[in-house]
Amino acid sequence: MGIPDEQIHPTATGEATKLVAAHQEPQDLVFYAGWFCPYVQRSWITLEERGIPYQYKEVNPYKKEPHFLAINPKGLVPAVEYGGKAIYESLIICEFLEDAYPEYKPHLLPEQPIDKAIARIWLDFISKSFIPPNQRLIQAQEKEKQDAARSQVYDALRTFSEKIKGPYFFGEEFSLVDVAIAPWVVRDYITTEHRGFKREEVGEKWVKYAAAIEKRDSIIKTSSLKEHYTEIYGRYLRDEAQSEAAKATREGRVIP
Amino acid sequence: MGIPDEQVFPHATGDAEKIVAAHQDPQEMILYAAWFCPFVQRAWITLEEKGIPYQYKEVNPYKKEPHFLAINPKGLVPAIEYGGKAIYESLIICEFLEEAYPEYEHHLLPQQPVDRAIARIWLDFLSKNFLPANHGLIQAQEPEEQDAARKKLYDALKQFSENIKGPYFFGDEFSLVDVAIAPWIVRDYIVVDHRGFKRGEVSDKWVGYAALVEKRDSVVKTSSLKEHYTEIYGRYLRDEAQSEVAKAIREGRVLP
Repeated sequence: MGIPDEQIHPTATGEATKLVAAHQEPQDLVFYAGWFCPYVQRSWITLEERGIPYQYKEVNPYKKEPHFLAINPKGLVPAVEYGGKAIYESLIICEFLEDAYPEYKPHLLPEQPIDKAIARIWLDFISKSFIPPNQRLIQAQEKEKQDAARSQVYDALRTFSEKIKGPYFFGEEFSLVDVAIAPWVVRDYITTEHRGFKREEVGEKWVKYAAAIEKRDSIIKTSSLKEHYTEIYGRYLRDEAQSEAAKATREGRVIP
Repeated sequence: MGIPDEQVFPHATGDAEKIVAAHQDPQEMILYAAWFCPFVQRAWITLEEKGIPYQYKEVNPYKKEPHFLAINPKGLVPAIEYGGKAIYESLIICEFLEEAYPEYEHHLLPQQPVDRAIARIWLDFLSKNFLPANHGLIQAQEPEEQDAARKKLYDALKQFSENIKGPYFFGDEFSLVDVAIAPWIVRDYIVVDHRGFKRGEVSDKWVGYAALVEKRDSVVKTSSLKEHYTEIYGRYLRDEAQSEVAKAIREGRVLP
């Protein structure tokens, strides 16, 4: 028996359609994606920033194809198939792309080990301090829970924002730290329209930064038409969504 | 006003005491550590495996020195001071040590990018599936909660154990995946004595693996005398501990 989430629009639309069409040829690297998924978008942005060849395959995460599950039993997107092996986890994929394609520019992580470590600390910060409360904010039904989550989101973004060198996090160079938060920046209209979130409440620096992020070419190219996201985030706003991230948030578990 | 956790035994004992004594000279790299902390032990094992020079500085995590907080405002251990910058997060530190000291053998991560990514997937598995279950079990007070947590722990370890090539996780070579779980293997007598955990309930493979890991020289050398851990884990067993990890588990939050 199917679940409502299965009836999502089946393909990318708008800008992203062109990109999908341009990546149908078989390649060394197969990119399993859900056009609407923010975690997928991190890896997709990385592929596009660096110009790495890939074959794009759409996966309906709520109705997975047998081959996909065969190589990737956990069944989550994004996933990459390369040399007969599968890897998953959006940031692990991004680091893999840095390691496996060193000749493709730009590099999205600093060269110096200590600066790379600091970048990873910020990736970890985004995963631990921003995403969980943001997810809770979207799924929270009661006002006090929404208020509590919104306050935590503001705290996280203010801490992050203080360290933005500008225009991007590390200054002139767009990096994986920007990639890691970008998909949520371009989706913040959801919390603005439905949960009282305001970029201005974070601060001026954040307003500027968010504007720079959403204009980045790789982000525009990997985004679909807004109206097709509505069906999906509507379920999150009513706390009916059945993704692993939604279920984990609902149950107070770690997002898998 | 202090908290009971402040009265923790102030320094390493047993084998670890010798290692601490041997690492008091100033070095390019300072390891800020707490002798009893399993997360610290990951970084410490890595340093010892690779023979990297470091200066060991004991930090009481519940009563932090001003200089430590000045360079590392988040105030957690383990932390590394290197070239005037501070980094933290046990696995980020371990990756930093791999990258900053490439000439120090042996390497704890595979060289091939896909295999490196797969190693990181297992590190992520330990963080998301093993640690919350293990800490949840220690801190659970009601029998039903303990039963539920123990089952989750067995599930996580069974999945991990199925993928052990032997003798170590990836076969002959000791790797960061082994490092990442070792500190909890040497502490599992806590859940054996107090929470009904049995290595044999996981699998025979697990019994063999755990026995091997706990004998690893770098693991033995960075462990202190058992009796001094008792005071500390007693507080965890009564769910009175005030570490950030303990608080996060109690509140159902992501481990910081």
